[in-house]
Amino acid sequence: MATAISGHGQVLEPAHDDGAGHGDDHGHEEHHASMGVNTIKLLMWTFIASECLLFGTLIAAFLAYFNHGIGPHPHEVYDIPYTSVSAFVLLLSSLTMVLALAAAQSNDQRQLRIWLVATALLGMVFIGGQFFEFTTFKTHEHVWIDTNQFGSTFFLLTGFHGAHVTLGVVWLLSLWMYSLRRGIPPSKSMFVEVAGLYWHFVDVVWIVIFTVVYLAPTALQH
Amino acid sequence: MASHELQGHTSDHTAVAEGHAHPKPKLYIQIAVVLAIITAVEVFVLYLPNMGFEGFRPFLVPIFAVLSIGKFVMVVGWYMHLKFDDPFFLRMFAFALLIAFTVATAFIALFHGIYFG
Repeated sequence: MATAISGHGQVLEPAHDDGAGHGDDHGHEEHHASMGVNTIKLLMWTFIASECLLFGTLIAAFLAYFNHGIGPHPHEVYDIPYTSVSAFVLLLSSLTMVLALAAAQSNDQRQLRIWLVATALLGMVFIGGQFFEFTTFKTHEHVWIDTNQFGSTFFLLTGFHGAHVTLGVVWLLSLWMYSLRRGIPPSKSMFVEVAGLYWHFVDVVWIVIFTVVYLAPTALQH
Repeated sequence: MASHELQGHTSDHTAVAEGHAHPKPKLYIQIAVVLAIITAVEVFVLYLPNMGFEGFRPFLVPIFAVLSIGKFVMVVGWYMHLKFDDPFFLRMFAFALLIAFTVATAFIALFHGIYFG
C-alpha cells in the first residue's frame, strides 16, 4: 500500500489517492498538507491565529482608553451578575459543542443533531443577552459607541465578539440542516470538529473579555 | 517493511494526528463543571472586598488572571483538543498568542508613556 510516512509517523497521503485528495479507504475525505496535518484544520487554526491578533488589538485599545475622558466608566454601568450568567451560557455551549463532535465521531446522528441545535440555541441566548445589555447601556446608562472612549472601545470589542457568535450560530444551524438532509458520518466529522474549533475560540475570547473587560476594571475602580 | 505492518504502525499515530483520540464525554462534562465553578469563584471573589475583606482588593486582578488562564488552558487543551492534536497546531496558536500579547503590551506601554532603554 502506497502510504507515505512523515518523520513522526503520521500518514501524509491516503492509500490509492485519486490525485484530488480523495482516498478510497472507508470514504475518507481528509486532505493533508506536506507536514502531515489536516489542511481543513490547518486552515481553521491559521484563521484563529489571525483572530488572536484582531482581538488582542481590540482588547489593548479597551485597556488603554476605558478609564480616560468623561464618564460614565465601567464600574458605573456594569452588571456583573448578569454578565456572569452570559459567561455561563457560553461555557455551557462549549460543552454541548464537544458533545456534538463526540456524537459525530461515534455516528450517533440523533445526538449530533440535538447537541448542534442546543449549541446554536445557547449561542442565540448569549446574543439575546448581549442585545439586552447594549440596550440597557444605551437607554438607562446613556453609554453608546459615541459617548466616550470607554463606550467606543467597549462596544467595538464586544460587538465584534457578538458578530463572531452570530456567525457561529449560522454555521451551526447550517451543519444541523446538512445533518438532517444527508447525515454527517464519522468520515466527515472533521466538518463538525472545525466548526467546534471556531466555536471554542469564540468562547475562549469571551473568557478573556469577561476577565479583562468586566472583572478587572470593576475591581480596580470600586 | 510489509504493507500491513506499515498500516499497523501508522494507525495509532493517525488517530491522534486526526484528532480521533479525543476524551470521552464524561471528561468533557467534568471540565464543564470545573469551568462553571471557576467562573462562580471569580464573581464571588470580586465581591469579597464589599463583604468586609477589603484586604483582598490588591489581589483581585492577579487572582482573576490566574483563574482565567486556568479556564483558557482547559478549553484550549481539552475542548479544542490541542493537548491531543498534532503539536504543530499548539506551536502555531502559541506563536499567535505571543505576537498578540506583545503588540497589546507595547501599545499599552506606549499609550501610558512607558519607554524602555
